[in-house]
Amino acid sequence: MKKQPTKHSLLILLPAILFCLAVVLSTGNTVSAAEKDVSATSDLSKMNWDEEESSEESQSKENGALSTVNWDEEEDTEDEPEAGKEGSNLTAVGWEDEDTGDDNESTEGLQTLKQEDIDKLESRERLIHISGFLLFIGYIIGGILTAFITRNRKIALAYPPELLILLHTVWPLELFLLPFFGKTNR
Amino acid sequence: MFDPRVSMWEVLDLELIASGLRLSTPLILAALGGLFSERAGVVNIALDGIMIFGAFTGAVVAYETSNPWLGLLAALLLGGLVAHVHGIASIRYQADQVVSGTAINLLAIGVPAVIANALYNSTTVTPNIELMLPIIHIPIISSIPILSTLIGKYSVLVFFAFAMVPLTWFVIYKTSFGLRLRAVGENPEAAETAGINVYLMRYYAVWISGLLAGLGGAFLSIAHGSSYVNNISAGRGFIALAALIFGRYTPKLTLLGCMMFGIADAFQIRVQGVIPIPVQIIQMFPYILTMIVLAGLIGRAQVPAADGIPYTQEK
Repeated sequence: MKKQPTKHSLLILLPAILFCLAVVLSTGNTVSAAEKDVSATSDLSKMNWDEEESSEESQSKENGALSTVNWDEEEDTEDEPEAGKEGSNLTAVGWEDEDTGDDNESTEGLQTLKQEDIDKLESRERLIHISGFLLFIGYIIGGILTAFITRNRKIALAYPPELLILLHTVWPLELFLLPFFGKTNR
Repeated sequence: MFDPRVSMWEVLDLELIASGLRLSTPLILAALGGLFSERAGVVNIALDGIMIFGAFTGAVVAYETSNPWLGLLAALLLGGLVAHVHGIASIRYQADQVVSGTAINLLAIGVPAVIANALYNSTTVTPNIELMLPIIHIPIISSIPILSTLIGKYSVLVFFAFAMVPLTWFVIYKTSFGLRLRAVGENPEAAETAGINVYLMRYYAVWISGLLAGLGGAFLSIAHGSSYVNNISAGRGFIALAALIFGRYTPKLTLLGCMMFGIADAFQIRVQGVIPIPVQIIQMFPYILTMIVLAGLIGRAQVPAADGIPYTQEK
């Protein structure tokens, strides 16, 4: 009775091929997801967190920061000019402008550093997964093929079943021993 | 603590099924392993112990090599070796297969703790692994609303476990190896008369059962979790055996049984704190379900005729 190995082997190989494709595509998705996270972070850092306080700050620059807080209505009139003078000296420094410049540079540097680190990490992880997967599948397929190849050989007769199973577990060693036993058909 | 703000209906959603499918993965792998062994006529009650050995080995090797795949391979091979010990005791020396399996389960309680203590000064837990097995996103399905929750995103071992079901069916029912395996389990004398090496076939079957159970254990420590903890299997090997009996020693029904138990497990996790029942009683739910199923809810399973009966080769 003739078998149809081609049809059945395709049926077995097709899920394996789809699986490998999914692994490769999913690692690509992981990288793009990481990039999106990085860009989201940069978007957040560009947001004006001080937006709510901007109107108060503009007043404080003219009158002094403390003048915006009504500690005491009676004292305000006395304190305001002094506070305003002191505040104006402080506010004239332009803290916001200096800090913004430094922040931008350091944030951009941090983003570049983070992105580089993430890229390196992602590529390292991808390498580990791909190499590990290939090793894993290769070892299983190698074991199955070795058991198939050695089923009619002398090595299967020379050793008891218990030892044969152990040899199949370490099939590279079994393949190494194979030439020493020659070929015998049952 | 019971939270009255969360209703029962919030627990019963698609995420419950997705969690159930994830939790059924070790059950599926161990049950399929048990299927090979039982079909060949060797009772493998050591599935739980092999899962524990697999989980421990996988976690240790994945931590030491920083590669989860090497951990998976080590778990696979050690699972096969542990099962092989059971095979030697049961097949060569014709020991009682239940006793041999129980001995392995008892070893699994103590050996990982001793080795973990020697390596990491802890008898209950190993260090967290750096990199777990990858999560697979199926490209088109991930964007479809309901399907994305159900099957769009799982660990690689989940897909592997479900792929093993049709592969197991094919190997057992459509290959000559599977035919010999079933013959050895039904009538080993007739199989030997036909020229089949009964011992070798049974060894192969037990070895395969160990490989799969080891993978099931590795899922718990390097895919579902990130380290080995004491009692990581929580009796899942026995539940897998129950699922196998529930499935009448066939791959398709075994899959259904494992999914049922997996969803029950997911249900008890999600329902804790939602219903005013003590957590300890809720945690009993999958095991009570196992007992109900084994008590014969769906009828008697057709056990292979020579299952559990040691065979003596004619000289």
